[in-house]
Amino acid sequence: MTQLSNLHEDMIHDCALDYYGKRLATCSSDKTIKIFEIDGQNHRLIETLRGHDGPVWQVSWAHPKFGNILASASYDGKVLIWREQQGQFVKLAEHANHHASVNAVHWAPHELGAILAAASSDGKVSVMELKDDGSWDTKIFSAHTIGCNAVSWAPATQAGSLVSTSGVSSNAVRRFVTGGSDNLVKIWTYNPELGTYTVDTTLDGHTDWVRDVAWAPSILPKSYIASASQDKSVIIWTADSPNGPWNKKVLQMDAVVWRVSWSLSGNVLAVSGGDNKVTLWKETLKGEWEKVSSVEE
Amino acid sequence: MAKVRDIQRTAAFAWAPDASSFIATGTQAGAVSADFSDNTQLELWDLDLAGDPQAELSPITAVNTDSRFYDIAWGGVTKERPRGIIAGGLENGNALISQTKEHNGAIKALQFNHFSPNILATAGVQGELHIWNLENMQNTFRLGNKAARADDFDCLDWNKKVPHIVVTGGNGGFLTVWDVKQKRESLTLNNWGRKPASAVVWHPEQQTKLITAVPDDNEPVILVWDLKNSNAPERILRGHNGGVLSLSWCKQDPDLLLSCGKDNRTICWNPNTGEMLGEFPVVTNWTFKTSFNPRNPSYSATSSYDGKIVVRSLQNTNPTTTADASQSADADDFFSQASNAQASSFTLKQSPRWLKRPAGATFGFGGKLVSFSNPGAKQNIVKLSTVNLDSGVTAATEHFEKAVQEGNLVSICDEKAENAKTDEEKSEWKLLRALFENDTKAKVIEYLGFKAEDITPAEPATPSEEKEVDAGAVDDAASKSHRLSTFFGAAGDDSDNFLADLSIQSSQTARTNNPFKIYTGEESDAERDITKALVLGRFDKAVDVALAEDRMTDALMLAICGGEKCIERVKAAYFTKMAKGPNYLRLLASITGKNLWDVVHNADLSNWQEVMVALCTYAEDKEFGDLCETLGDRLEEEYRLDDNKELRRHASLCYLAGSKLHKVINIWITELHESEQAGLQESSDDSTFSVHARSLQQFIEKVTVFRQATKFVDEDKNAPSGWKLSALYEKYNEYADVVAAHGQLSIAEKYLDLLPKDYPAASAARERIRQATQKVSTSTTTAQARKTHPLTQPYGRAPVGVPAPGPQIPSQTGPYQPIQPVQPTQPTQPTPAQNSYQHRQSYAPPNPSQGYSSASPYAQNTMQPQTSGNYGAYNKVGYTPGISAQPTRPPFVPPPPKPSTGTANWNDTPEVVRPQRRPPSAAPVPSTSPFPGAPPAQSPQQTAPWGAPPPKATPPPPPKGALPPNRAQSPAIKPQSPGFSAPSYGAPPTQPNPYAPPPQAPPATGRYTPQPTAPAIGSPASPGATRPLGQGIPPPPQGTFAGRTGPPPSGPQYAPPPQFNQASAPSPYAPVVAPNPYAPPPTAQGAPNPYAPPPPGPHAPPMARPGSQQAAAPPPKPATPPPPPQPKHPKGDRTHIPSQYMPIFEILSSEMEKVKARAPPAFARQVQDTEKRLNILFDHLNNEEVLSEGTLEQMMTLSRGKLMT
Repeated sequence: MTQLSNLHEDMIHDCALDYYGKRLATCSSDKTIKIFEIDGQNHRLIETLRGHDGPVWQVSWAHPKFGNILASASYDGKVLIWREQQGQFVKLAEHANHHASVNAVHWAPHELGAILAAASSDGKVSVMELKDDGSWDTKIFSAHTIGCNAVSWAPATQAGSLVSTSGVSSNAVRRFVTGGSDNLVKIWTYNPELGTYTVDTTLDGHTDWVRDVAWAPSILPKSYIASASQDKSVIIWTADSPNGPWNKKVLQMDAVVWRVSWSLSGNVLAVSGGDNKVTLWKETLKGEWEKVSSVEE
Repeated sequence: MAKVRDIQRTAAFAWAPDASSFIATGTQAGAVSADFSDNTQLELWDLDLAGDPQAELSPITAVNTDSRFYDIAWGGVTKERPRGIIAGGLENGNALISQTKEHNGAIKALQFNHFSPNILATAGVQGELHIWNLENMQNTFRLGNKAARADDFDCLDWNKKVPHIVVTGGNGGFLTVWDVKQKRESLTLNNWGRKPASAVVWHPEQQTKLITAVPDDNEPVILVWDLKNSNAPERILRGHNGGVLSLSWCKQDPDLLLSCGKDNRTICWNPNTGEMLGEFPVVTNWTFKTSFNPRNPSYSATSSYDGKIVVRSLQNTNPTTTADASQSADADDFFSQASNAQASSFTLKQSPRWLKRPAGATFGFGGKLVSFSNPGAKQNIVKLSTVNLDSGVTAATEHFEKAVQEGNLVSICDEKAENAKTDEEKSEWKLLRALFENDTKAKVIEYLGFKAEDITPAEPATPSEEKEVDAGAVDDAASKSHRLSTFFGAAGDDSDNFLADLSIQSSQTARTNNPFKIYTGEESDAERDITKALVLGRFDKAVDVALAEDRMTDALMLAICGGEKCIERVKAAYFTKMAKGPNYLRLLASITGKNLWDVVHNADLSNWQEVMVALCTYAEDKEFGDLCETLGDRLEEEYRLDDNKELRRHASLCYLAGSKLHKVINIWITELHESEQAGLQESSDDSTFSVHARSLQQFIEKVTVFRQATKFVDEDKNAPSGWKLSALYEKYNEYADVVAAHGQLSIAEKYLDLLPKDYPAASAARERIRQATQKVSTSTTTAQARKTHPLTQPYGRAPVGVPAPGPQIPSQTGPYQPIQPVQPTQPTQPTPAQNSYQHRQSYAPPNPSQGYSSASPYAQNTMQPQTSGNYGAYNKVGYTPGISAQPTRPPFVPPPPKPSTGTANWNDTPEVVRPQRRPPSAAPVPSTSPFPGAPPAQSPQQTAPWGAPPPKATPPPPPKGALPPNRAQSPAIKPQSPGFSAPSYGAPPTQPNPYAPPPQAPPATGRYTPQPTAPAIGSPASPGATRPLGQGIPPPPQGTFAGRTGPPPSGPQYAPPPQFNQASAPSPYAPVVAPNPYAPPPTAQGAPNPYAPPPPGPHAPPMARPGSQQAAAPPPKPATPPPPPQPKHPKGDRTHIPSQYMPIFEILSSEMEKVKARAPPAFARQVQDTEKRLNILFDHLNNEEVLSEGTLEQMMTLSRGKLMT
């Protein structure tokens, strides 16, 4: 376990490892994003990205096939796209589609292309697609009335299949889940006729703001969505088939839950709470979830 | 802030407490609507924040009230009332819900308790503060007493932390904190100089903090108080231009405070820092109420007297859109512009707390988890950890990897086999394990359960009718799964085809086209066993089984594959079985069994030829003889019974083939007799004797040829008795007699030699012959003998018979004598031999007593003739003159050329100092004793003779006389020697002469001298070389002489080596020395020559030698005394050394070798000398002469003793 202290001058709001686990990006209220190279116990600051006017809430790494690309969402309402060129990170694009703080940003599975979804406090979700010609295609739509706090894409392949088809095939699904200040979790699917995304399912269960949602990478046949809420609970939503009925399982926590994250093999859930504790949860054969361990402070 | 909505009312409002964005409005008291309507309503509005911002809102519901509102409170969310309850504080003092009238005056403010939604507090004029319990409407109580307060309460607020605290404020300038539980005041706060308080709010999180607003236009301040210190406010927020009418402290973020007032502005503050964060767009009239949306504080609403309630969001990050919208609509309207001028771009820069994520964790590739947290202000931590997701997997992986690294997969296999749940798995693991062993194939076999031991041949059973299955061409060797019909069914033709096809071996690619079953299931146990054995490669077992089953042909086939052992077994079995079969089988059995004895013993004799041939073809060499013998025996026996001469012939053939002499002999003897008989009957002129002799001759011839042909070695020769060839011996004996009788003594001797030593009859004969053939040199015996001498001499057997007297003086060998041209007296002694001889001769006379008189006669006799090469004669010759010349000559009695080594032999033991010699005619003798030491007994003369080899012209010697003292030479010698030597040597080495003449004096010297002088070196050695050792010197010396003396002083003289050694010694000197300086030695003793000196030199010693010889039986091994009688065997020959004395030879020669190897060069001469002497000794040993047994015994002891040390 490596512990890096005081990387930023203000609160850190997010950290993300890249596809290979070698690079770490952190963002903070100090309006900067810092990129580190991680090598076992050692870390080395590669670069500090400045460009936001407000605290940066979230960063997300794209799949390496697009290059070394990072997206950041900030309180200043902007989504910035950064790319590494010749060892330096430069701002590739700037999206100011929202009126309020962009609270979450998430890249879609690489099989779908270079697609990015952002959730904002203005209640809207924007989906930006980087086309081959370098231009962006943006779709914005209202998601949650008084603010959208989180967005997470579903795995590209149908749940249950290990082999992913290359590129965007008919099998690829364009779905994502959002969580909002209206206490709701919504699943959205791309509707080719409308050319936009529409709500598939609305999952109600929280009594307070949904702070984070996460769709599990599919190795197991089932679909798993985890939602974290200000009401100190995490709800695991499961469905046997992509459109099937969703069952929920409530995991009660001790404090406000800010974040949920699935492991890459999709069987372990990391839950981070307002009390600065991170716990790991696993599903038993009976379908119950039990705490496996916790990362000590 | 973006204006989200507005409601066209001038009303007091309240947010819906739940998540829905509803507002309840109540017509404001104190305001008149534009149309002066008298409607007072409570309306509910759905803000529909998600919808179109521009749309006009209309109330959802409206409730008429009878009075205007001062305040509305919406709260009280309970299970029964999920949407809460709206309470309105009315002008008429009613708390609307249910009309309850408690207040006497208007209710100015009311609020539901945050913690107990049923509790409502109302505050109004005249200081009335009532606490209502909605569940129990009857039970209200008033806090405080009537009279205490005269001022109105304008605002109130329940503490957000402590449920029972409520604060009220009014225009009296005092703030009162009430404890509802205790129903009394807790605290009174002087609002900073008794300023009126229009609004009061508690800190959302800190229970002792509160903020008050001052509606005074002169000091429109907002005071932040911490009640811990109620004297003065903590902070004063100034910014309003007019009195502040309303406050709203964001519940979720204490850093956000909204205030609005008479200056038409709504300002957002950070009360903790006192910073003014921004303000909403200014409106046209007083803003009298502002409030954060309790659930979503990014929204707030403000109502003002300008007839609108505006709902705004805190952020407007993209102001352009809205601004554009509004601008475009009223582009030209000044007022709208004015009013919208501040359609501001106010956006809250400071991010509200509710957005700030304090902690999180995300997974990364490789089981990594990165988590962050902000444990404190200015403290942030990022953690990277590796998560062990599934311990079971990791443990198993690690365990396995460790085993792989250790290379210990075998144990893993075992483990797995142990824990295997199914048999299949178990067997799989077992097999996997087997693969680890080097011998995979063996393991597989073992695994399959095939053991060779299981195969035991059953009792021979009757062969089953079932045809065998030939496990021949197998397509897939190990596979039993090939189940096909028995190919070898009854069909015979099929089998032919099959066999034919067999040659087309199925290859790997050729698929099954000749299917067959390995196990048909019908074969017998034996067949199964055989199959099993075949599969396992154990041919031996297969053979066993086959034999047991009496399947001979199969067994044979199997045996061929199985190797030698199998073949043997089968062979044996077969032969046993076929014992009654054809006879050739028996023969074959014997042949293959390499056991011909059976044939030999048992075959019928009429087939003896075949047997013989078989033996010839097959028998091994070592057995051959015996086999033939046996066959022959049988034949002979048969013959005896049959008296069939043919058989006898055959027998003898067999014997001959088998080299069995003893058997053949018998037959031949018989034949001999027969032929004799036949011969006798053949009347011829021959006498009986001759017939007999002839037959005998033939017989002997046959035998001899046979012996030569087969290189027959008579092993019995040394055996004391019980000879196989006794019959032969007899014949030999007989023959020898016959031959000897005819004067062929040597032949006789030869044959006698073939007899065993201990053959009684032989020894006498041998002796006799030996005697007879002895060299004349020493023995001057019978003239007759002498006569033969010349003949025999060459053999070195000079005086055969001469030395009658006494011991066999090693009959000096012929060469000896001749060499002794005892010249001295005869100037005409060219040949040293002669000299020596003469010497002898000369000696002789002087010693007639010695019996050498004969010698002299010899000498005389032969002298003349001797001139050259008449050894034998020489001797004698030599003597005479010598004798005469040197009276003193020591009687070289044993003139015999003895130590012909002449000078060279100075050191030699007086070879063969035959006692005879001794006799010594003092003078003449010397020469005869070539062995200086040897015959010391012999008397000085011997020595003389030694030196004697007078023939060796020991010319100088005489003159020298100075013979090296080594030898006590007989003075006699001296004079002679030179003389002798000279002449004798003539050419050669006069030196040797010294020896020759020495008989008297010189002899010795003669003998020695050679040594010392240069020449001596060379020659001496030889003849004399071994001198000191004196062994059978005679022979060697002779030889040497012969060799050396190139120019044989007297040619042949040298033949008789021994004495001649001396002579030869001289010979080497020859070159040095003029041939005959000594010729006239006697006369010219001194004169002669140059040689004189040298020779003298050498001779001197030799002279001396002889002398010393006599005296000293010299130093070295006084081995054999007598002169070198004619050696029986050539010099250098060692093969006839009797075995018991072999050690002497061996030990001494080895010692010699050692010395030779290590001697420093300075001693080279001595070394050579010694060697020569040794050689002489060996020769004597070899010839079995000269050395008496006693001496030999002594020598043995000596040599052995030497060895011991």
